[in-house]
Amino acid sequence: MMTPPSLTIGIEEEYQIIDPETRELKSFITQFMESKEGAVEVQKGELKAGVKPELHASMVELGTPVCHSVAELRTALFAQRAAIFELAAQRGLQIAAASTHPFSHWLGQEISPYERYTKTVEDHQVIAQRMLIFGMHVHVGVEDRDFAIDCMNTVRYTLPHILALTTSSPFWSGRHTGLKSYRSIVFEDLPRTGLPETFSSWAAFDRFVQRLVNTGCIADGSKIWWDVRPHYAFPTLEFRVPDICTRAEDAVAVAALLQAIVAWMWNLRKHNMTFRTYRRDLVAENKWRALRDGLDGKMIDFGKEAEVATRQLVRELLLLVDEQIDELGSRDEVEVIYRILEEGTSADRQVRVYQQHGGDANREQALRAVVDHLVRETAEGI
Amino acid sequence: MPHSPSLRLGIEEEYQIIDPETRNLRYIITRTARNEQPVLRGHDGDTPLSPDLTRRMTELASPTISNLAELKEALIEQRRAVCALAQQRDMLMAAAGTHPFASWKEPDMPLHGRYEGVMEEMRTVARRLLIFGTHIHVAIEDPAAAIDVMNVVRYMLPHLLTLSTSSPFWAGRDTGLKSYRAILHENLPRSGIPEFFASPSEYRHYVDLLIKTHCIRGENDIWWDVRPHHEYPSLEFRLFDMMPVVEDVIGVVAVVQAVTAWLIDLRAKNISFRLYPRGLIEENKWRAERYGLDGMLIDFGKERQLPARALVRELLRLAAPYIDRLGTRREVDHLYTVIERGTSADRQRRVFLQHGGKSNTEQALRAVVDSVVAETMICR
Repeated sequence: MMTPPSLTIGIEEEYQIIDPETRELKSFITQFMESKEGAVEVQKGELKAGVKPELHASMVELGTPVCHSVAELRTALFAQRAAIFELAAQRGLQIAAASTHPFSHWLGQEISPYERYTKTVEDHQVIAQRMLIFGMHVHVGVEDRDFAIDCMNTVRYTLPHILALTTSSPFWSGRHTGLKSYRSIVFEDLPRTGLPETFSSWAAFDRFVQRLVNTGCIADGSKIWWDVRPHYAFPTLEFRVPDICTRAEDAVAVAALLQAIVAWMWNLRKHNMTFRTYRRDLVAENKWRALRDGLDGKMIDFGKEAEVATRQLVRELLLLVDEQIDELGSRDEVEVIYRILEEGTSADRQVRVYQQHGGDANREQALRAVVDHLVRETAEGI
Repeated sequence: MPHSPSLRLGIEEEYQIIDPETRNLRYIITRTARNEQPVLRGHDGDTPLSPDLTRRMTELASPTISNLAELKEALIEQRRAVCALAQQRDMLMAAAGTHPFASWKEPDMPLHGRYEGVMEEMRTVARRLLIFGTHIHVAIEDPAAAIDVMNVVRYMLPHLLTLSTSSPFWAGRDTGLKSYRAILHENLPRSGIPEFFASPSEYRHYVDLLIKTHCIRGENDIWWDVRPHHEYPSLEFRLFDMMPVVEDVIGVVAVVQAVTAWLIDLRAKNISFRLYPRGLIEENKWRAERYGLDGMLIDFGKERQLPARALVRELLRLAAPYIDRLGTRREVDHLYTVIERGTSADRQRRVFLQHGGKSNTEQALRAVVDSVVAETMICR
């Protein structure tokens, strides 16, 4: 008998460090790292709590501790954002949570002066330099490794739905891309990204990773960057598909939904059932639609073989996991998703602000207004 | 017992027409997505090609030629005709996967023909696709054999890509890669290495489902590195960068044909090259894009990385009996020169560095254009 998953929950976020004058990204991570407040200890076996550098020096990563309820997660995430705002404010800087900066160009960006990152750039060249993108990773505690793989296979189906709820990267290098999550496009230029393949067991997955290590493709499992993966160190399933939510509240809601989905998959399994596993290339069609149209589009219900409005499909998903939401006591937090469905995601609001400020005809001003809007919204409620 | 495939060949190329003053890209010769007519495409629209060139390009695209020498002759004739067209307009012609410095953001850049119907649908992703590929058709009349070969041949695609790389520069920068075109192309949905299909009917079901749910308008909107062609009874290999030198192209065509013959023959003997997960093959594809022939590829049977050059030579050895049977030894032998001396990507980078590289980017990239043009227009 498999051990039921603990369903603990945690979030890692990658934030933009913003210069309030120019509204450009500001390379500042080394200063953060060297500050007393930035250096927080890493607790063994838990998500890292403390400022971490990322590839670009204008990026800062923070993770909540392992939380045992969504309410706890909410408190931790809001505290984390408050802490990073404080750290930035002390140096006259601001923080924004969005998966791309509206106009800062990747060419001008400093790479974090740590070997891990200079190596990444050496290995991936221009591809790595372009990775000026900011993600949000949700961890859900799944201790049984075979169930983690089983769940990874089936949960792929819901990843486009999750992405549609979180899009926050409609702009890239000063252009309106026409897509809702341009980050997803940029990120998939790296190898080992996007939707994973299916694996028949943990042993099969482990063997896959070992092969990549043995043949010098990767040093270890941390270099597998799929939209969902069993974490290489923590006993979690890690969801990397979302854009980072500008509102902390939205991030908590999405994390709560992911937790409920995993609980639901477990429940199905317990009853000798499973969500169907669809071909990767079919799920990829929905992912493409999600990153392009966000909530405004249609996705495919592959059971019905029909296109359905994405909003409706997300509502259906919420109903499917309704029981789990009650069991997990995350009703209040998940309710926020209905607001997202009504008001749209960060991407939708960014485009709205951009248009209100003159859009393409007044590009420079309009994009600055988007940055201001992002900084404001990132701080909402903290 | 199904008939053995005819292995007839077809080839499609996309050409850059270059302004001799600025060395920038002015026109593209490509096919429209709508009716697959070859056209001369500028930023302000399409000009039909002469009936002669249209006929040549259409004929050469369909897999009807069994003799490689004949194919080569037809390809040279086609390139000559394109050359003449360019010269009539006081322009130059180039064959490479990307233009070294043309930027898709410039307002007077032509939009790529192949994806025009999906511009609206693809947005920024499609606009960026200022890329040029070679498509090689090998006729396999039995659909079950075609799907089988498609599954198996995925393993060899990275090896084959290393022979054609010609897109190290993009928008005025050295990307550090050998085939940046491959990266750009994979931004499209339904691109890259295909998934496994158990049978033609599974493939058919996949296509029908995508059409029914309005993911695609037709089978032609599937842009994998290798695909069953929607019209011809052929497998179409779409992963190659455009190559400036005709002998390189013909060598690659010959290998693709011989590898296909080999896999078909294995099938008849109840043997298959092993099927590896797509995720593993993609590691090799990435290495091919990044390092080309200079890198290491993985031999997944041995679970070891080996120099790409050694593995490509090994592939040529494996295909050798079929090369002999098809009588294409001379054409394939040229590839040993490519393996030794490198591809267009290597030559382009060499020219770039000889002309000062990053410290003299503008001049150096113009020199790169000149070198590609010179290699391409030799057929004139």
